[in-house]
Amino acid sequence: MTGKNGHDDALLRAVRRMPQDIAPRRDLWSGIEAAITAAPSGVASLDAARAKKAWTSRLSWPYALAAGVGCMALGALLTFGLLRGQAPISQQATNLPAPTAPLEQQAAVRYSDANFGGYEALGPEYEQARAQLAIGLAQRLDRLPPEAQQKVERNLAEIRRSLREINLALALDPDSTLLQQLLLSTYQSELAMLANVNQMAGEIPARSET
Amino acid sequence: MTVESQPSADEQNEWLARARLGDTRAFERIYREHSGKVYGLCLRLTRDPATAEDCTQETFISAWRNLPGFEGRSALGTWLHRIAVNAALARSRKGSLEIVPQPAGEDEDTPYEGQAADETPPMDLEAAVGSLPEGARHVLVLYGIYGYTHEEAAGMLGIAVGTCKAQLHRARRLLRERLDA
Repeated sequence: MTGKNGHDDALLRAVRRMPQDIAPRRDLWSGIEAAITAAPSGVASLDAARAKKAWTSRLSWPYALAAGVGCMALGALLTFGLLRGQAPISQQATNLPAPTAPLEQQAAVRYSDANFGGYEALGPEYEQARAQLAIGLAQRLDRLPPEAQQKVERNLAEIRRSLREINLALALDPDSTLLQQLLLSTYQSELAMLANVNQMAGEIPARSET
Repeated sequence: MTVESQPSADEQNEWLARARLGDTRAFERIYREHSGKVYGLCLRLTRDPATAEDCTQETFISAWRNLPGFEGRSALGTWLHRIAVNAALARSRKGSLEIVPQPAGEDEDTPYEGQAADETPPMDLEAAVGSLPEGARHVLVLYGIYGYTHEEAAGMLGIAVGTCKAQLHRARRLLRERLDA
């Protein structure tokens, strides 16, 4: 066979030769280990209660939750903007001396690498709770009404965008106490949201189980 | 990634049995053996290294929690891939995934043992695959790179087999156009 089909075959052969393995940029095992150490294999329930807070009513909780988290995320962004001026941090970063490592790598700093000063320490328990709750959220989100799902997803994405931006700013200004506080509170917001959605979604019967 | 000698099926079964009993060291062996493929799959599905890392962690945590339900009807790797696809789709399906351009060369600098010399430069092909629309890319990744059948890929993605075939056709056409451009 010649022409386009032959070309297609060669293309598919080339695709099949692409490596299946790609090494993660960092070792992910420590986070996995922290999560599974506290959860024996096969345990079905999540340990969401550890982090949960009951600050929304059950009547209209998806909307209250979404609005609350949205406010937290917006507050974090506004505070962040006040701290850093009007320009987006990505623009500011271009005006600063080149850091020793790529900005994206620096911005990827996790709580465990960040210095929160004397305000509060987030240890492996946080990572463990976050990982478990993220799993629980993925498993239970479809129990929520579609509109609530979208709001939760949007607000979670907003919080995570805030985290990335604050981490980016901290990479440039690692000693900023205010940024450290902001980062800490934003991580806590994410955890609180995950915990609440897990708890509340868990009270709704699943439509289907896989 | 350090590539060690391939563990035998017996070894993997032993790790699995021990992990089912709560042995995290055995589960770590499973992680070490499969994390590269799981991460590679997640990265190609999500196109975002940070999201792919999260999906990889979710995959193994979920696998740990569901080990008693794994009956061994499929290969362990296939089971893990299925969980990974679910994790990646859960993020992208709701439109919450923010696509972050992948820094050039960031994930390609790790040599892959056994990678054959190829008339198509891997970087170009990888970038071309990454540029495909989501549906076409997902099918091409599962069918083309990870070697699943249309039936398997369709099952993982929750689409009809016909749709899977159509997406592959589309992926090949777009890929050819982009590589020829």
